Amino acid sequence: MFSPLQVILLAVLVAFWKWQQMNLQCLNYAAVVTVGALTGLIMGDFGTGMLVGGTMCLMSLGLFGAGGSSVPDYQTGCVAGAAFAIAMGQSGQDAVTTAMTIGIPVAALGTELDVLAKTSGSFFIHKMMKCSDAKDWKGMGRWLWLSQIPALGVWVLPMVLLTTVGANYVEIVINAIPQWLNNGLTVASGMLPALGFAILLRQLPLKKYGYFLLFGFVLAAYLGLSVLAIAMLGVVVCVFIFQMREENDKKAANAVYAGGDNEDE
Amino acid sequence: MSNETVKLTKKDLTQVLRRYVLSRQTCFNYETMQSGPWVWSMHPAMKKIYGDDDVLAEKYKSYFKFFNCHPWFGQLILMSNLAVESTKDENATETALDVRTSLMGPLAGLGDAIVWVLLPTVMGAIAGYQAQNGSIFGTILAIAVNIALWLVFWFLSYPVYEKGVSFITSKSASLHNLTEACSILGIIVMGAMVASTVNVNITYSWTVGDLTQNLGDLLNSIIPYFANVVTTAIIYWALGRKKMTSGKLIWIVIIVAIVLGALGICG
Repeated sequence: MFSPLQVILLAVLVAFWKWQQMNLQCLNYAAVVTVGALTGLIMGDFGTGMLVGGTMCLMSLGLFGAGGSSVPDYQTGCVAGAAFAIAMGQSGQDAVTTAMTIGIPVAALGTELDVLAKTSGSFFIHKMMKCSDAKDWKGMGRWLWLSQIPALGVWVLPMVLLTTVGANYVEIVINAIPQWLNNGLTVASGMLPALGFAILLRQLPLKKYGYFLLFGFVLAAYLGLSVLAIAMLGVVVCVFIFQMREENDKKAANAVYAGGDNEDE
Repeated sequence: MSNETVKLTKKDLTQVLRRYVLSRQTCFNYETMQSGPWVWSMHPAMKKIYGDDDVLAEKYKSYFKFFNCHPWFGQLILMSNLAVESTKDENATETALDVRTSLMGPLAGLGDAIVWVLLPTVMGAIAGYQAQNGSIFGTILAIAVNIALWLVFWFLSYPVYEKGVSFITSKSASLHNLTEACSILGIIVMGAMVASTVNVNITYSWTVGDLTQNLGDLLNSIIPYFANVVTTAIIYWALGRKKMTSGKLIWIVIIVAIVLGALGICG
């Protein structure tokens, strides 16, 4: 189902992608579309890769692991999903459905893989500390980079297994999936963005400013404005509030200064 | 140990920066998080400042302690720490670590809110829709914004070293205000995306005489995108429950969606 070259390129893509996602971080915006399109290039169908990437990108919005926590990984999910959909010769809505059937479980599994990768770091940080104590600076750098073997390996290995020994099983499973399950996954793809937003809302000061949700909702639901337009309006509100708070701070600072000589109240 | 300030050149700083952007979250672990690449990146500069390996080994013991911040702001904090170390003051490392510890929390909050949440969510929504319609333009725009901001942080790193900590700390009140203002922007965009991007359709309908009434239409006539709002609210509530993680919740959402789809309630 996959040529050896494709297996290797997909593995390299996943390894490069996880490294850049964590470190270089130049391709982290709309990352799921980009990685989907790159998968499309490897598999020989750019358009389908982009379509799968676009759909899964919308599902992944707002997912962000603050402070080292782990969240579902749609980027790896998208690589697996798009690769299989294209390998099975699908395009359009069929490809999206197939990609989601594979991609969503892979993305969900990603939460566990991420924990595994970060757990493996403990061994290497202690090696680094030992090298530092022994003033072996070269060794310190070596152990730092060696930590990438398990950190990237936990992502590459499942991908290689999936595209080699697992490929035929995955195809059998995909073809055996009944219509009701496909419907369910389509429903899931519409619901999952809500998970990302909920995670995000948990991190935002909702108790204090929750009513601004209504503002955005009305602009979108009643006035039908696009997200870009609403974001621009949001910037206006944001800058206004920032200016007001800055001025208040200044006034408060002046008040403290002026009130310095009669503190008997 | 002489107390003469060692001025790092632009070349020295570039070397540290290059190491840092290539490795900043390698060796990530739950014990010290991002401290490994921090030490490895600062080493060439520290070697130039102190020269003596014994001194460095002693100082790195402190720098290996817990550090976790938004990676892009982490690079600015690293520069401010090098500025402190450059003075070769007796308490330089202590001061630098105080700066590091006191800045990493607030700056992580700001960086996460703007760089990881707000911009990617907005850019991702635009790119995602355009990609579904066969256009890669939104994605290129997103990448351009990502790289532009990345470069801003890169070039901001040099003045942070020159002007030292004061460059950041003098702005700490403003930074707090900026975070607060940006979180409001985030909330507004979230409110909009609940309507535009979440997509839950209720297909359940019943027939009375000749009239077929669809439950979804009925609810949407009360509040538009009723099912979207309820779905988001329920997931938000579920996330706040004890022992609930996003990893568990994604499976629950998938299972619930499949059941609702199979029963013909949603579609």
